Amino acid sequence: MKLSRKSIYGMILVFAFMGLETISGSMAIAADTVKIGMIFPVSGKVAYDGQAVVTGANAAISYINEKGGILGGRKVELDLIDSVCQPAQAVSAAKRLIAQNDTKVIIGDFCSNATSALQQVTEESKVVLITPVAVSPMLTERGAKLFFRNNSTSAMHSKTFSNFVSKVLKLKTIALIVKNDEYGQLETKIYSQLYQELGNPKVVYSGFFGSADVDFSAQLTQAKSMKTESIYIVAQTEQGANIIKQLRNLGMTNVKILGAGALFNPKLVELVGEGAEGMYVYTGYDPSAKNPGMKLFIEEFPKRSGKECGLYEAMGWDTMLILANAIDKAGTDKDSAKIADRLRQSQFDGPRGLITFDGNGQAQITTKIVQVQKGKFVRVY
Amino acid sequence: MDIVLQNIVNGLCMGGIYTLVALGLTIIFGILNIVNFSHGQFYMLGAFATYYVESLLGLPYLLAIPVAFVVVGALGVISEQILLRPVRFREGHLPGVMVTYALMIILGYLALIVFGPDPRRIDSPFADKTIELMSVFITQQRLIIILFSVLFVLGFNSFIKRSRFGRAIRAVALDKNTAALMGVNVNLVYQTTFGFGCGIAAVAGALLGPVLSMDTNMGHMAIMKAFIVVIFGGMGSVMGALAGGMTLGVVESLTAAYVTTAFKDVFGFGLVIIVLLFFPNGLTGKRLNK
Repeated sequence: MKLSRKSIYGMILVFAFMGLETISGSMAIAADTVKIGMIFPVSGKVAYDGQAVVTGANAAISYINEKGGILGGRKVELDLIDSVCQPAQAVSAAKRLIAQNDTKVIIGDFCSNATSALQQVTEESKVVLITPVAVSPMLTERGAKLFFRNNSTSAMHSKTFSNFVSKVLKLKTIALIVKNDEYGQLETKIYSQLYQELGNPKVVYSGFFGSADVDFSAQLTQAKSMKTESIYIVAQTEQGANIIKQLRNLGMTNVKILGAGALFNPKLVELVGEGAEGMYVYTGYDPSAKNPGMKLFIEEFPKRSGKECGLYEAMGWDTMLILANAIDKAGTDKDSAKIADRLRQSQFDGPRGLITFDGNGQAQITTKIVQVQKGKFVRVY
Repeated sequence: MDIVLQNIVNGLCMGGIYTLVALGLTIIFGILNIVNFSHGQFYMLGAFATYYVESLLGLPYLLAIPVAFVVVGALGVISEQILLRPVRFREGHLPGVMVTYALMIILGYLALIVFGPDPRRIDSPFADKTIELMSVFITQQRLIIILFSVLFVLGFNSFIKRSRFGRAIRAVALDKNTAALMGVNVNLVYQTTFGFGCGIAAVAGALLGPVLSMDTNMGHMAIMKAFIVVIFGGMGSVMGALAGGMTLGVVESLTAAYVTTAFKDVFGFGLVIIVLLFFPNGLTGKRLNK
C-alpha cells in the first residue's frame, strides 16, 4: 500500500488529536473533583426535554460548589455523554465512563428502554444508577440493588388521576390518544382497567400514533365520531402540542383535555396558545408550592441557568442535590454500596415536595393535578 | 358519511404536506441526478429562517416566506459550488450521497448549537382559522398547502416544457457533456437547480412550520417520507411527487381510520412495495437513468 503525503499528514493529525484527548482525560482524573456521570439525550427527538434536565443538574452543581462542595470541600463535576435515548449508545457511554473515569455514580437515562439497558451494565459493574425520568415500572421491579428512580411511575400517578377524572370531573366518556410505545401501551392498559373498576368514564376509543408522527387527524377524527366528552393524551411536549392544536382545528372546541405527566410543560401552553386552556395534567411538581425546597429552586435555578423553572429542570436539580447529599453523607465517592445505602435513607425536600425512596429505589412523591388557567398551570387537586 | 369525507380530506392534507416536502428532492434528483440527503435540513432551515424573519425583522408571514426562499436558496447555491461541484463529474450516485449526507449531519448539529433544542411556532394568520363545509373541517393553512403543491407542480411542469431555460435544464438532465458542447451553461443550471430545490424545501418548511412540529430535528422526520414519496411517484418527476404524495396521504388516513392507527406506516410502506413490484419505476413510470 502506498500512502500519499497528504494521507500521512492526515493520520498524524488524527493521532495527535487522540493523544490530546487521552492527556485531557487523565488530567481531569488527577484533579480532585467528585465526578458524577450523566448519560442523557441532548440531541435527537427528546433533546428539548433532555437538555432541560441537564440544565437543572448543572444549576444544582453550581449551587453545591458555591456552597463549598462536598466531602470536605471537593467540587462536583458532571461528565455528560449524549445517549440520544438509544440503548446501544447509552451502554457504550456507560462502559466508557466506568472504564476510563472509574465513575461510581451515573445519572441516566431519559427513556425507559435506554435506562433498562444501562441498568444491566451498572448493576454488573457495581455502579449507582439514578434516573430522574424513566417511567416504566419494570425498572424498579427487577431487584436491582444500586438502581434508583427519582420520579413517579405511571401506575403511581394513575390512582390519584383516575379518581379525579371519575369522581371530581364526573366524566362520562373518554378517548385515549396514546404514543405507540411501552409507556403508551401501559398507560392505556392501566387507565382502561381503572375506569372500568370505577364505573366511569367509558373508554370509547383508543388511538395510537408513532414516535415520528406529526399528523394526528385520523385518530382525532375517529375520537370525534365517537362524540367523546374528553380526550386523554399520552405524548411528549411537541407531539402533545400538535395533538391539541389539531383537535381544536377539527372543531372539537368543547372537548375536555386530560394530559399525562409529560404534557405538564409551560412550553406546551406557549406552543398551543388558547387551545390548551382548561387542560388537566397530573404531575409531581406544583409550581405554586410554598415548601422550602421549592423556594430554594425558584430563587437559585433561574439566576444560575438563565432559564425558567419547570418540571424537567426540577427533576435534574433535585436528582443532583439528592445524589450530592448521599455522597457527602456516605463519606466517599468510590463506594457505591455505601452511597446507595445513604440514598435509601435520604429525606429530601425539593421542588417536588418531600422525596423518600423505598426498598426498590423507587421515589415516593405526592401526585398533584394542575389545570391550565389563563395560560398558567394552577394546582386544582 | 361526513366522517368518511373528513378522513379523505385529512388524507389530502397529509398528501399535500408529503408532496411539498418531496418537491425539491425530486427536482434535484431528476435534473442533477443527485440524491440530496441534506434536503431535510434545508427544509428545517426554511422554517427557522421564516421564524426569525418574522420575529426579529417583524415582517408579516407572507413576506417572510419569499425571504426564506432566497436565504436558503442562496445557501443551497453556495453548498453546491463548494461541496458538490468537485464531485460533479464523478461516476454514479455515491460521491453526491457522501457529500450531501455529511452536509446533513453538519447542518443538523450546527442548527442544534445555534438555535437550541426548543420547539418553536411560526405565527401564521391562517394556522388556526378553520373552514367548515358540510361538517368537514380544514384549516386555511392546510388548504394553502394543498393548493400550493398542485399549482407549483403545474407551473413547474410548464416552465420546464415551454421556457428556454427549461429546455437548457432538460438538456443538462439528459446529458450534461453534450449540453455543454452545445453551449448550455451547465454550471448555471447546476447552481440554479440546486438553489431552487433548496429554496422550495425552505418554502415547504415555512408552510408546514405552523402546522407540524418545528425544531432542529424536523428535517429527519420529513426526509424519510419524502424519499418514499419520490420513489413511489417515480424518481425525478414532479407530477409523480404529487401523485405519490396524495396517494400515500389518503391511503394512510383511510387505513388509520378503518383498520388500525397503531401501524399506520405499515400500510403506507406496504403500498409502496406493491406498486414497485408492478411499476418498478414508480407511478409515473419515468425511466431511470434515462
